[in-house]
Amino acid sequence: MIDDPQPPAAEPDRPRSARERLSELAAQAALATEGVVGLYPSPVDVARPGATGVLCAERADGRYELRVQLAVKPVALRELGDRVRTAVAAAAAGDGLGDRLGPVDVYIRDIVPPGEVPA
Amino acid sequence: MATETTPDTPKKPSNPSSSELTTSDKGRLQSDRGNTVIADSVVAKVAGIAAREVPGVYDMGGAPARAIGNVSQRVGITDQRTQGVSVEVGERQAATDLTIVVEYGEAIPRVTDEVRENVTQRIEGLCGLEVIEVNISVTDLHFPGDEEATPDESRVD
Repeated sequence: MIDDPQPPAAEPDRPRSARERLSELAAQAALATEGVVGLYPSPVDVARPGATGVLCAERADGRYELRVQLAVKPVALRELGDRVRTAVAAAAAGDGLGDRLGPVDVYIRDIVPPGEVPA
Repeated sequence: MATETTPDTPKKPSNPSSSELTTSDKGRLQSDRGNTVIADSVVAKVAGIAAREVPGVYDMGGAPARAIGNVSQRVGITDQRTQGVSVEVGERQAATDLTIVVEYGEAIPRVTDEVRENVTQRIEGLCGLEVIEVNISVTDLHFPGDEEATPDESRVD
């Protein structure tokens, strides 16, 4: 008799942590910012499964520190960093996580001129 | 053949606080909301692209770097745009060393002046860093036809 294979049980919806939500919000907000080409995980990060280019770590004060690593267009990079930070803060506030958001470090890791395909 | 051109510090406002003020107004690298970090490779890429924009610049890098670069670029190890570019990046300032090949017939001083000007403008405009040095080494001249492959013709019928 052959056992009737059971479909794998669906993973129960587990509540997503603030860290996960902040990471996702930051990625979405950064990608929606004018001048950003894409997220850019560092060579170390890509060894981690699911690495996206956003690192989020809880600090002693309970807030989360974010590092967003980006490939960008040739635009003024400091202003772009500020725009990304503002967008992330707005997204976190919109999701009720504004008080959990700590500093957002923006790492410009690659610049992609017009006509060049991002790595 | 290498020609070192005199490092030329771009003219800056005599009052250093004015440039700092402008920089901080544009968007500080450090703030209580977080830092913006620009990778050295990004500054090098900006410098490389800016140098290549100048008419008269045929290629960048010394002969060994170009030879190795041709191979490594094909396998995707290096970026052609940073070939011949070395940068030193601080918190507010940057210094660059460039190695270029100039087209034969172009006035080298004119080309290097324009490279220096364009690199300075691009780094300051995009990265918000004060460029304190652009040192340029002209390591070779390119003659028209140099790049054409020698036809593989038999010497005998």
